[in-house]
Amino acid sequence: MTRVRKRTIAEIHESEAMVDTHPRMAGRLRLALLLAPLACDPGPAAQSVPTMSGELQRGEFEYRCAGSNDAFCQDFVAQRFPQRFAVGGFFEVAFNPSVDVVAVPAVESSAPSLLEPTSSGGVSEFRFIRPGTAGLIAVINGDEIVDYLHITAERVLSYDFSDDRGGTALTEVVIEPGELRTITVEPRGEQGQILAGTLEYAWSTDEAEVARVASQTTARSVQVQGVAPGTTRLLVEGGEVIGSVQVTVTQLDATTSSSTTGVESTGASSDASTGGDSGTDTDTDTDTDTDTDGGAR
Amino acid sequence: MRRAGALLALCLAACGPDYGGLAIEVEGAALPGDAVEPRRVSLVLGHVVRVHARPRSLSAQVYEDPKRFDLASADETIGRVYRDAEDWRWVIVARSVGTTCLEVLIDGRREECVELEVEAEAG
Repeated sequence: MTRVRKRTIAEIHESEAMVDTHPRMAGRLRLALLLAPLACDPGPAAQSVPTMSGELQRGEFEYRCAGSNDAFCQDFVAQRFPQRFAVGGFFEVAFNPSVDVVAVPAVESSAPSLLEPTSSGGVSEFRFIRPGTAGLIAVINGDEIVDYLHITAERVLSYDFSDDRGGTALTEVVIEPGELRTITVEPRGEQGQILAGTLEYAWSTDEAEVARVASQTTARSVQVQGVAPGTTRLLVEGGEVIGSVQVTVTQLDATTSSSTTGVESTGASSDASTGGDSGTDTDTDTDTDTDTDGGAR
Repeated sequence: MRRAGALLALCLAACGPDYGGLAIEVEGAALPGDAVEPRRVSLVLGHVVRVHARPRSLSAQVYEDPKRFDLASADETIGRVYRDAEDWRWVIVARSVGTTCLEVLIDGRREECVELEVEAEAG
């Protein structure tokens, strides 16, 4: 991350005064002032950290990835500032003031019983303990507030499955015996939006003799491998909710060019109402309460 | 000499502002569930609100010096109050569920206790 330091009014006056009193230096100084921002230019390859203005308009809150399991992050870089957070998901936040302050503000939680600070070292890391709205507070010396920003968390209600062949919103994965397929999951909230924060996932299949989880991992992506013809479910648990996608293992001689399908939208309530065993759904056997009461458990 | 001093002190007291309650209102829009009134501030857990607060005076003199005025929470585990960079502005943070006192202090003297209630989020 690159930060461009703003010059104070005193520094600007000082440099202007120097130009007036030392004409020889004027050209060099002007050149230096012109080149200074270029020296800090991160270049086209650098990605900027997504920010959100504080509610007092005194700076910007930066969203940072606390791990690779955050659906908002790619290669540990957040794509945008999240609108909604997953209960239990870890994330980091920093604050860049746009006004003059005497020290670097620390980011604190308005209510630790709701938004728990889990910081280690100088990084402000948080996770929501339960659904709700809490404030991120930029504070100096523990008692001087600079700005704040409210953020909201929901429980994960469903998952979106995608694979390494470009399939999205998958309801079914079709593979052959021995074939490996990488499946990635995105946690979704009440309105179907992606929820931010790094969660840990547990993967399994109903019938390991049909398909098995080939990579033991707590990551957001997993490799599933076909074992023998048949149908089973790939299950994922993260954020206290179990989701599943149907895995169909075909005969070797019944190879199809496109073995991935998936057009249904996810949504725990719609899938649950149909009672379908296939498709992307939230496991209603264990999470009926979560689906119906908006997440309060 | 003593009489003159007493007279002067009396005059100063009579000519100064006389506390008559707290004028307080939310700056901007309040979040759902939050209510800010002169006698009672009720916030949802986790919410942060910026208020404009100024003591009213019963006399003709108003409170002009913001540094003489302070707002403080009697229990900072329930609610915390920060003085804002702008005069007469404060930021109140609802830290945990409960009720406490938002103390109105003038020249360090407690004038009033405004009830500060922090409620759990509905649902």
